[in-house]
Amino acid sequence: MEKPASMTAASPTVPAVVKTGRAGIVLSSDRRLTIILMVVLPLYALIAPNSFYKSVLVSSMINSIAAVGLCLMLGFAGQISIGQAAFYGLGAYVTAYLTNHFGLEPLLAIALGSAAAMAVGWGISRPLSRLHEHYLAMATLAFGIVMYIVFANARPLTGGLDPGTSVGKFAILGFDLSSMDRYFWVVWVALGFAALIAGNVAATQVGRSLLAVKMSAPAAASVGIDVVRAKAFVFAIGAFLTGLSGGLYAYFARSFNATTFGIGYSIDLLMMVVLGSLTRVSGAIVGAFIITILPVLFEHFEDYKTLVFGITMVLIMKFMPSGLVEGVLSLGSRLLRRKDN
Amino acid sequence: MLTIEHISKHFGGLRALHDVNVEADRACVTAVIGPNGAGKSTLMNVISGFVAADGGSVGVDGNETLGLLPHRMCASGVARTFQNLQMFSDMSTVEAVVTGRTRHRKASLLANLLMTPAVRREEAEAFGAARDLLATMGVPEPFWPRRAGDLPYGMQRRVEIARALATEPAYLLLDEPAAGLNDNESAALGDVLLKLARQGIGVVLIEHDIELVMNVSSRIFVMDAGTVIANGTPAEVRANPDVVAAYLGEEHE
Repeated sequence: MEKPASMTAASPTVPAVVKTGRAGIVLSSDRRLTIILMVVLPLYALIAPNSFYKSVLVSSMINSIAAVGLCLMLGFAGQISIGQAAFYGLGAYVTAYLTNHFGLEPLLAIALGSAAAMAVGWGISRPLSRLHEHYLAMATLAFGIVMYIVFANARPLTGGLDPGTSVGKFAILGFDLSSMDRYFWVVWVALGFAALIAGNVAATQVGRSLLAVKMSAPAAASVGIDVVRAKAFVFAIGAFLTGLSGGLYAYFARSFNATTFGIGYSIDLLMMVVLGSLTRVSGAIVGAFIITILPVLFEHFEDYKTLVFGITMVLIMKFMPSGLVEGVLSLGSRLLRRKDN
Repeated sequence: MLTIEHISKHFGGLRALHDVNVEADRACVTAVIGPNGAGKSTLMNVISGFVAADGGSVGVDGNETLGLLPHRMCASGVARTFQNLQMFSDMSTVEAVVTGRTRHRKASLLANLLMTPAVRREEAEAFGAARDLLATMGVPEPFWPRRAGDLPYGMQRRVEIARALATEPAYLLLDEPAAGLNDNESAALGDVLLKLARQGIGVVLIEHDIELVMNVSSRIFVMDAGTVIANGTPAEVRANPDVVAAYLGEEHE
C-alpha cells in the first residue's frame, strides 16, 4: 500500500524535546512576559528623561492595543486583515464626533467608538467568512481603502484631510488627565484590559476554537465549532480592540486628519504582529513597540532611515521567522542548554 | 439507527451517488467498502454535512438531519474522521482532543473572556476527559503534551479518533482509518473499534483493508460507481459474485 508522505517524515523515533506553542509551560510564559511588560512600562515612564520619550511610550502602548487585536485575528484565527486602519479610524472619529457634538464623557465616547468599530467588524465578517488567505487579504485591503476614502471625503463628519478633527482634553468627570504623565495611566489601564482579555481568549476554549479554525476548518466544524461564528467573533474583538486604540489615539493626538488612517497604518500593524509573535499577546506588544520606536531611533540617519528600517526588518524575519519574542526565547533556552552540558 | 435513504449526488455531469441506501445500528461496526471512486467518501461527506445531497434523507435515531451544517451534525451525535488526516498540528496532542468537547461546554463567551471559576472548572474537566480518551485510544502519555503534528502518523490517526470520541457521538464515521497503518497497528485499530461498538457507539467504517473489515464488521455495504451493489454479513458479501466482479473486474456468469 502506498504510504502517505507524512508517515516517512514523522518516523516513530524517540522524540526530541519539542515544546508546543500552546502547552501549559509556554502559554503561561506568555502571561508572565505580558505581566513583566506591564510592570516595566510605568517604571520607564518614571525615568523617561522628557515628555518626548513619554509620548513615544504612550504612542507605542496605543499601537500595542491594536496589535493585540490583530494578533487574535491573524495569529490565532488565521484571518489576515490589511484593513485594520479602518477600525482604528472608526474608533477615533466616532469618539471625536460624540464628544464634540453630544458633549459625551470622553471615556464613554471611547467605549462607544470601540463598540462602533466592533459592530462594523462583526458586520463585514460574514461576507468575508468564505474568503481565505490572499483573497481575504485583498478584500480587507479594499475595505481599508474604501474606509480611508470615506474618512477623507466625509468632511462634515470627519473634517477630511483639511482641517481634520480636534478634540478637547481627556478628563474623567471633570478631572483633567490630559497631561502625558496622567494619560499614560489611562492607556496603561486600557492596555492591561486588552492584554487580559486576549490572554483569556488564548487560555480558554475560545482561543482553541480559533486555532482549530486556522489549522483545519473542516476538522473544526466536525468537532462542533461553528466556523462562521468563530470568524465573526474574532473580527468583532479584533475591531473592538483596534477601535479602542483609535479612540485613545484621538485623545492622545488631540488633532488629527484622515492621513493617519491610510493603508500605511494597516501595514504597520501587520508588521508589529508578524515581527513580535503571531501566537503570543506579549509578542504583539513587543512588536508594536519596535515598529513604533525604530523609525524614531533611525531619525538620525535622515536619508537612510527607510533603508536601515527595511534591513532591520529583513534580518529579523530571516533569522527569527516565527517572531522576535519566539526567537529570543528559543535563543535563550539554547544558551541555557549549552551551559548545562 | 443511522438511516441513509435514496441519497443522490451529482458533481456536474458526474454521478457520484445514485439512490444510495445504507443503515447502521448502534453498538456494532458497519462497513462501507468499494473500489476507488465508488462514492464512499462522498457519502460520508453527505452524512456529516460537508456536501449537500441532491435528494434523499439522512436520519439519526429517527430525526432528519440532511442539510444540517457540519457543526450541527456533530451536535446531532455524528462524529467523523477524515481520509486525509485533519489534525490541529500546532496544538498539543491533549488540546487537540479537548477541542472535541466543544459541544459539551456550557460557559458563555463572556464567562470565557472573564475566565470565571466555572470556566476554569470546565477546562479542567475537558482536559481530564481528553486524557482518558487518549489513554483509551492507546496514545502513550509522553505524547500528550507534545505538538500533535509531531506525532507518528499512526498515533495521529488515534488522536483524530479520540478527538471525534470527545464529542460523545452516537455514531462515529471513520474514513479509511487504517490507511498508512502497518499490520499490527491495523489489528490494534480493529480491537479498538470493537471496544467502541461494545460501548454502544455505532461505528461506520469506510476502509480498503478488507481483512480489517471482515474481522470487525457486523454488516457490510458494497458500493460501486455511486450505487450500493450488495450488502450483508461478511460471509455473504465475500460469496457475492457482483462484489468479486466489482473488485477484481472479473467476468462472471
